[in-house]
Amino acid sequence: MNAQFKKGVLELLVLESVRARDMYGYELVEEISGAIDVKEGTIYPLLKRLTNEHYFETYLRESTEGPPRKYYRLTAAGIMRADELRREWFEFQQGVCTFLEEHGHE
Amino acid sequence: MNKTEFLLTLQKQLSLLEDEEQRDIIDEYSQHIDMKVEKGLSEEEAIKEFGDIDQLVSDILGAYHVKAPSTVGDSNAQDAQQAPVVNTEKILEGSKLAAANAAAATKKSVSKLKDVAENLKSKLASREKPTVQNAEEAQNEKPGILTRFRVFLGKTFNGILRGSSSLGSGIAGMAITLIRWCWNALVACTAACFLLCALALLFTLGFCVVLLIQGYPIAGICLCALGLLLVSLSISLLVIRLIKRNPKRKASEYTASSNSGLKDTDSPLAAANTAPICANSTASI
Repeated sequence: MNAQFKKGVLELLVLESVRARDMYGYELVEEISGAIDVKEGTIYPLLKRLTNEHYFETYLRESTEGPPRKYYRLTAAGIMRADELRREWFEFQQGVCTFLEEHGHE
Repeated sequence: MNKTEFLLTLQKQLSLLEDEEQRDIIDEYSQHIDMKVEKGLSEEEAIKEFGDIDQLVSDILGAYHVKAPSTVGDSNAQDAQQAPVVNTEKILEGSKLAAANAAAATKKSVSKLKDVAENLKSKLASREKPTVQNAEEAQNEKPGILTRFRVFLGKTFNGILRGSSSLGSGIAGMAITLIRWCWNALVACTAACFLLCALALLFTLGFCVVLLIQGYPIAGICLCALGLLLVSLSISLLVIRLIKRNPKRKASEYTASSNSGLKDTDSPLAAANTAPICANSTASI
């Protein structure tokens, strides 16, 4: 798949995944990788950027399977950002689909 | 590259960041590699899935708005060699420009100071001249601000003196009036500030309620805004009650109301009301 497509939509997918439930890094990487083929190395820096921009907040939760895990939770600003991206995505998708339909039959 | 080498390389390239941030990032990647190994992958395979380490470092530093240092390419090396020369030239030019600007600024300020000094000299000289001039010329001259202020003060003072019985009571009355005015002005300003705060909090509350209805988890913020709004309103009302009214005006209003009460006895209704009493009293006699 085109790398630019994946890059553009990654932030939306990450925000929507964490919106459903709090997740730790590995869990989130697995979930996103199941949807789109993306380098795992791109997700951690994205999580760090979104945390620095206060869309996420993090906390440690003890784990029975090893050291404590860092969980990510969406903040109120993150919810607003996710809604904004979601709206933009649907508008963009609709516009592109309409364009392709019109030019596909020429 | 195994896990230890990867983490060491990563830590070295992230040395720009704070120690706590570096530790946080390294722990996260270490945990990820461990989980991959538990799933059955080798350390090298898990590290390969991260992609190019330089790109990874660049992305991580980008999250902190830090530019990654360039490490590869002849053109980059040449740019790196030329960059110090270009930078020093730029620095020299900048310093020359700064020095020229500083010199121009000091010249301007010196000339302004000279102008101010000359103005002061001329004013002092003109102040000495009126003692030599005629009285008519002195009267025809436009009075200064200080003189006009003095005249105004004198008129006010004389006006108050005419209204008061003695010099001492006049001064005391003026002082009390001034203090009362100052107090009322301060109280009014404080009340206005709190009212403005209340208005801003009302707007914030409305905005938060709209967001709350849409499903955003900001009930706490709404309650805080409501509480602060009520506090601001109550403080402003309390402060307004502290405004001191003129006691003379109060007394005149009281006398006016009492006079209007006495005048009512002249009306026929008042006469009718009083008549039976008079009749009763005469009857008793």
